[in-house]
Amino acid sequence: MHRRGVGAGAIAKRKLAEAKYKERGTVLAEDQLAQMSKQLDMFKTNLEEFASKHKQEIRKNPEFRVQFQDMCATIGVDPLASGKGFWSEMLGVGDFYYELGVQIIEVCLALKHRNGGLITLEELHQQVLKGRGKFAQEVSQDDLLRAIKKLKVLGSGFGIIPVGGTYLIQSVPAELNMDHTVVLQLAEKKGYVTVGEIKSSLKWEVERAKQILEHLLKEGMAWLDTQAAGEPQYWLPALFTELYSQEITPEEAKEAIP
Amino acid sequence: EIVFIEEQAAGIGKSAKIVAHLHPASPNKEPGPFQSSKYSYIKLSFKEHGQIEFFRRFSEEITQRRWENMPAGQTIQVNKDPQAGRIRAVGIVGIERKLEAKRKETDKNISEAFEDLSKLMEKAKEMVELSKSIANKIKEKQGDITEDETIRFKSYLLSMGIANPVTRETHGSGTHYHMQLAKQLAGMLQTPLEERGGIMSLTEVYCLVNRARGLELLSPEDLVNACKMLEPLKLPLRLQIFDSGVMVIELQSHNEEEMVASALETVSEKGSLTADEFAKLVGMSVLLAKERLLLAEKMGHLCRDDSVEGLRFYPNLFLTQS
Repeated sequence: MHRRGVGAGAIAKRKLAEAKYKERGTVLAEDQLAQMSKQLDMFKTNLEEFASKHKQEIRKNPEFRVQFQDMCATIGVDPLASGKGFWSEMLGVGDFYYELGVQIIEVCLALKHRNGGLITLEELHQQVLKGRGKFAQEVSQDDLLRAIKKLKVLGSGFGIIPVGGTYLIQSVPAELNMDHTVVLQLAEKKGYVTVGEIKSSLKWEVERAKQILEHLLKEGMAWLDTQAAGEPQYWLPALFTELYSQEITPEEAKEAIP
Repeated sequence: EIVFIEEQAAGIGKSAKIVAHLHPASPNKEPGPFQSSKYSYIKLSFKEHGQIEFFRRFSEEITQRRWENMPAGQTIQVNKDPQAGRIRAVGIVGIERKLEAKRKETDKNISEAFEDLSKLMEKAKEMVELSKSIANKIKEKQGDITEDETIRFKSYLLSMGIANPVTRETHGSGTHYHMQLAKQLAGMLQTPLEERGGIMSLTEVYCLVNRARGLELLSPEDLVNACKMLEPLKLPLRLQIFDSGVMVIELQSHNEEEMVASALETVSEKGSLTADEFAKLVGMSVLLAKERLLLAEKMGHLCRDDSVEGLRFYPNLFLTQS
């Protein structure tokens, strides 16, 4: 009895059709990959030409670097994704930012015991510049932010918190949610904040304010001043401007190097 | 006008001085730094030294009064001599011209650079479009693309810095580059790991490796992608991720649970410890010390006392004394 589609012949036919389809699929992908490979070579040449003319511009000019990064982001390219990428190899942007990453990690580690793992972008900038010495390439705050964004992927808690027109850089895996961020922003104005101020500015219940402030205390990101006139003040050591000019002590520096 | 000058010796807390006593000012005196002063002398203070030499020369000049014999035009006077004035202006204009030329040159360089950059980005954009279209084809074919071709595609994306449009991730089976890197890391990190008790955070590894390299540094993503290949490649190190998100590299022989047992002993000996104290005692980074104590707590061996004074760990007596 002949049933349609069943039988050795039908199976063989189906197998042949599948094989042909697979083959065609492979050929299609092969074609496109070959095309991409060729275009990649051409692009590499273009990039080499660009590098030979303008590599110095990128090295020396922070504004140009910003433009470069923004354009890359617009078209969907990340020049810092890999040290093996063309951008890094030929323009040298990679080494610049990856080394900056190392310096940022070291500064944050050295100062963590003072500020609980929170530091202003300004102070970080100053300390990094100090460490780099006066013959190194110029580094802008934008450069630091880009380097920090890349460091996030290492899992040790690097984060960027916008506060009052600048940023606080977090370098410890402490959980800081929206509530914490908003309190930090409030504290940024004077370097400290009180429960009363949180109540009046943010209209929070006392309990909520206290919980958030206690978390910051526990993490070492806030210090409590119970001797202040009026109610207790919660200070952020990250915002102590006097600390900006303080050198990193030799003990702190030892702590920083793995 | 100076009447006479005298020296004043230095004393304790006082520097040496030369005092120049002056005639009273004439009513039609020319404008200067001060219109009038209640003092009839000027004091020159010498903080370090030089007052002896200065006094000698000062005396000479006052005696010889050479300035009264100088021809006009050599003195530095504003509006005095048009001839001298013009020479001075040319000097400054020359400098300004140079600066202007340099500014123009820089501007030209920058605008040329921007032009070239825009053209380059156009070409880069084409590459992004092409990779998207390939990714779409791959999605349609669903597994009809070979392992080899996938790896090739991924390495193209890596070169361009394009995120993998298919998986939206830049990790996974990685590329040959990452596999190579993983093997290098295994070689490079063996000793440092042994020196640090078998475990290091990924940030420590990042710094160590890049400091050692000096050039051609690894991006953070390169490091993570390479570490993800450690276990698949059966290398003697592995990547671990703690609950907190902290990422570490451990020797395969390292057993964090075993370390917890010794941590418990240490805490018991001291009664209680914070992460900082434990880190100092054992010689670990605070980050990893905290993770170990948290793990011990998770396993039920330690209890926490979480106050504003800090997070302190105690042996879990509920468990041991039941």
